[in-house]
Amino acid sequence: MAPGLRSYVLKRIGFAALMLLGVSVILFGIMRLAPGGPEAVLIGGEFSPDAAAQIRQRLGLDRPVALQYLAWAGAALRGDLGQSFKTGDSVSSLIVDRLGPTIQLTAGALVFALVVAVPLGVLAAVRRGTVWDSIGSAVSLFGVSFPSFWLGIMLILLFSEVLHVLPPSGLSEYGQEGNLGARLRHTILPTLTLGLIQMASFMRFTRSSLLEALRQDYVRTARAKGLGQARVVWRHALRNALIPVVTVVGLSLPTLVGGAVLTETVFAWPGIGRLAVGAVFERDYPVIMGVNLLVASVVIVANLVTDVAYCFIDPRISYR
Amino acid sequence: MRTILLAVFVVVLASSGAGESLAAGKDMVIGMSGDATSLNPVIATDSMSYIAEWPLFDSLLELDASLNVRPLLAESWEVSRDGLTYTFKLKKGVRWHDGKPFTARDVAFTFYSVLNPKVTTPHRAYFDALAGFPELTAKENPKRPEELAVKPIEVVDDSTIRFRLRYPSGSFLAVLVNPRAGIIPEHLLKGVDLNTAEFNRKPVGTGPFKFVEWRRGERIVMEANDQYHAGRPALNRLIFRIIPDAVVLLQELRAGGVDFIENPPLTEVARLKQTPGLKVLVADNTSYSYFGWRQDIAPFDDLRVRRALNHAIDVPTIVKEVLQGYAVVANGQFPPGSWAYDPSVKPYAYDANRARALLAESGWKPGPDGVLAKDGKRFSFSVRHDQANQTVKDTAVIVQEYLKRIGVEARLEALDWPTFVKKLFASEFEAIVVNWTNHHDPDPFAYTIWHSSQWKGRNFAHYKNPKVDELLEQARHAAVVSERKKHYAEFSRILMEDAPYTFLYFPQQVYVTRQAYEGFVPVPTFAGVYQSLKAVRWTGR
Amino acid sequence: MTRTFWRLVRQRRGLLGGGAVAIMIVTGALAPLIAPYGYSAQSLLQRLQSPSALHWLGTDGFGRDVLSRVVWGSRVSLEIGFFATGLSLVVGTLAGSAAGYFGGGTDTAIMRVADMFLSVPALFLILIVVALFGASLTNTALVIALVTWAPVARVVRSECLSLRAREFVHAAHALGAGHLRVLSRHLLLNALPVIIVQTTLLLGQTILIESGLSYLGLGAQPPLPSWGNMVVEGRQFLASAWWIATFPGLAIFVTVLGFNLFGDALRDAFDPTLRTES
Repeated sequence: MAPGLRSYVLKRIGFAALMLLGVSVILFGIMRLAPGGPEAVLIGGEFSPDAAAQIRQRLGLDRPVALQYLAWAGAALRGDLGQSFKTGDSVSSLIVDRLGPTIQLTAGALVFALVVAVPLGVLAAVRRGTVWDSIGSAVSLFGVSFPSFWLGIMLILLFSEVLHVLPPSGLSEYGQEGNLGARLRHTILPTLTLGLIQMASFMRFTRSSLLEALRQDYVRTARAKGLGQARVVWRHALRNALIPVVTVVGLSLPTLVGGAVLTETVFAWPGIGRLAVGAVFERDYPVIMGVNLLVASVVIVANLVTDVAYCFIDPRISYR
Repeated sequence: MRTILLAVFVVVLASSGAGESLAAGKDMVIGMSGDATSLNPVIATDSMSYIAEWPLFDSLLELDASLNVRPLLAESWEVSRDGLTYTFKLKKGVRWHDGKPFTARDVAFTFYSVLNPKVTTPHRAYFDALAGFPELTAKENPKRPEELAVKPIEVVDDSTIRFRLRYPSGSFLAVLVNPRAGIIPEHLLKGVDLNTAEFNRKPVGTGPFKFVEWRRGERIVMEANDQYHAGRPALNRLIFRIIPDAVVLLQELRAGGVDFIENPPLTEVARLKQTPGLKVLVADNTSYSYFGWRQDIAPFDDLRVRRALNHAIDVPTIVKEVLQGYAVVANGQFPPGSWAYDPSVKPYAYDANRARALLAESGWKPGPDGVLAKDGKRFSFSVRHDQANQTVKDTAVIVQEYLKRIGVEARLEALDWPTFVKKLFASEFEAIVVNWTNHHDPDPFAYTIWHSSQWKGRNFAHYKNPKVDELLEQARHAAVVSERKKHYAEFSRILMEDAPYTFLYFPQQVYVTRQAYEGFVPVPTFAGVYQSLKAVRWTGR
Repeated sequence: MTRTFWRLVRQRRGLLGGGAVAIMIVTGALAPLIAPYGYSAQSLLQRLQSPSALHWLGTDGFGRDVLSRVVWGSRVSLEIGFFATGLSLVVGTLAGSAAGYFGGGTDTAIMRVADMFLSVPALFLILIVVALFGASLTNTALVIALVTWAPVARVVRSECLSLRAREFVHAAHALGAGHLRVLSRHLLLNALPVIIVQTTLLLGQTILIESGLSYLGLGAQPPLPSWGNMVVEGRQFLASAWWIATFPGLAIFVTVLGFNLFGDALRDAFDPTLRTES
């Protein structure tokens, strides 16, 4: 590893830690500033101000905000993300529980998107000006214009209400958790919803960056040297076109871990996205902080990894 | 050879016998729209917890279909002549789910816990009539039960318990009913901090069903209690599935994922009735919706304005068209199932012209933009409501429309529950649309909502009428039902005259379940149907 | 500029996209005149009617005309869209140009802050702020801007970086022009095409985000119609009255598609050498 690279990575890690700190402070501050709190949710309909005050005290919400933050941060550094205000379960166990369904969904969508988008994008770029190109760009343009929740609902309408071939929601039928076939059938619509939109955006990127790369000098040189079309494309252009693709995959990582909130809501999918949304409405601060910390960390790490990966893909990139 | 045959024969016989008894019962999957917070009747106050607690815990008494009390854990009781002493004889031979015997000490422990100021529970207020209540529940230096001269709760012997009141109260018996008065075991919880006990997630009760597991956010599973004092329930297991999305809940019912749901979207009920294999159960309920406002700010402090607002809203049409008839037009605080309900009190008839006339009388003239105005101020106010409650939101939208037609501008402000509740109890609002769950006895809610001493509590609208105060106190301290009924009738009349709110309607309980399940008794109180789960059986049709 | 305009018009995409966008904007602006009924005009006896001559897109759960609500909904979506986009552009352009122009420490600092905003999933941040502080139109737009300014800053920054080294900047300095002048007159003017393209794409994006928020129950509150909250209201009636959820969503789709098409066409019109279409 080049010495410049090592110090670069170290610097980035330092910045990353600083950013996590900043993110957590901002979020914490926002939540404490908001009116109302979790006690209202816990008590429910028979609200009484006395009970509310007691609960706030028990949850430590009557201490100064700075102290609360320090307590939370200190515990988080030791790996203890606290307990959910609502259920009392440890936040880490809640997250771990929900991580499975979310990753199942988003990884499936990502794979689907890549598998369809990259070849199609390449095809569209290479067969520029033909019908493939037009179809490709039309599909990708349409895809990024869909609101994900509406796409999901339309798919439910078509496949579940009209055609009755697929189940409308949920992880699996009750009592059938072990049944792989049933679980697979439940995964199809949400994965498709998420995947179609991602596929569209990947395709656009692949296509335009490949076109860009094909135009570069070194490609023309390679062609002039008499190398065959396929070799030119696959060895030189594609490698460089992959950089933006890696970028865009990296950019979709928050979704991968954070859960596709809207898709999960439409399909009642028990993932991290819905956990976070529920926690926000229920003022379950430890869960909100925990989920956001997790996602922010993943994103920061992913960014670092992709940046480092660049220098292996394109030797021209160097680091100060 | 013959021994082997005999052995096989015996085995086959034995296993078929076992098979038959397993098939005789059946599981039932119940859909819940949210998760419970804790399974401890002393602590829990949200509706999901109430539902889940009902099969697990018994109370001293239970309700019948006319909302009268009848024995459950208490076999019989005597009331002293002055109405201040209640002596209950408890059923013998009752056991907790862990096998230990149930005694009067558990009852004493339960209610002393409710009175203990260290325990966070709003149920405390229901036991206001108990002797020593103010001293036991004082914020500063609360007394302990041992320090009282007159003990409110006394264990006479293992199966006899005595309660002493400080004033005769006709609602005392009604308060000893599930879901707010389930009995908890002393031997498991003595000395434990009830607020955070592990017990709250792994409950042990004396109810018809035993706790099996609780996967948070997913399901609560219970199985039949073979040792239940009233006989083993016919069902094998109860599985409460938590599905927060109403649309998904319905889909699951249709697809067979759940067997029982409550409060389906009302527009679907007609279709559900016609679906083969499903049936719809309807019962009156104690929860009610109203459109209310602060009494002590303009323009609501003017009686004519309040009456006008009442005349402006066509409640019967709302009930018929939006609620599909599954509601009863409200004429005040008390639901039709309650003995305090007085059918002679009539709500204000829908009459937009009368509304306009009344407003004109009090000086409101149409302004340049069509909205009424007086002294340069437009008749415009904000209506706050809970954004998560679809029925309330829909009601608010409709109310706004009716008001628009008479020139009143209502600005809707949907707030999330924590914010809404905070503003409500701080009286930071002009108008509200709310749906509350009443108690089946008239006293608890009537008093806390309308008595002028409760301005810091549920009387956040700041209503004050000395005559009403007097009537409520008299009703509270009367022991005889007929006497209370008289006071409440007068109270209802005055309330309607004062028109502090527009009482809208009492939505009914609507449940959808499979034809094959029989035995439901929809008791007309909140979640009353769950009381009959112990009697439900699967007929296999 | 005129050459750009003609290039734009000659493309089908430019026309289609621009046309769709124009129609939506006009619809929103003239909503009170175009909509056959008021957006909150209920008729409890006409609930859940399927599309007919009286109600071209049917009626919803309160008997309100779906077509009118879709028309009015464009107002809300576009209002928030433009407001948020404008805010995002201003902040993003300022930050990005400062970073690109001054470089060094300023650059690092600004980009790190931008990275911070990018590392929290957009919807979470928006959700938290809007859910806790109230779902007013202003709050929603503000928060959407908070989340979308960072990519704008990135793009503007790289434009400025590449422009900075060009000769005309040196020339301007040599002639005595101050930083601000160079920035505004030379750099930004040349970066304008990029900024304009960003704007159209940003508009599409903010409309999508806003409708998502409305779907979750934030955003515009009833009875004010926004396409997102119409879809969520219609979801419970999917089996019996599919039109309530379908048409508003279609409106979102068409509008965002229009902006995207237009943005693509703009990009090609500004610089044909970069053309990605034939």
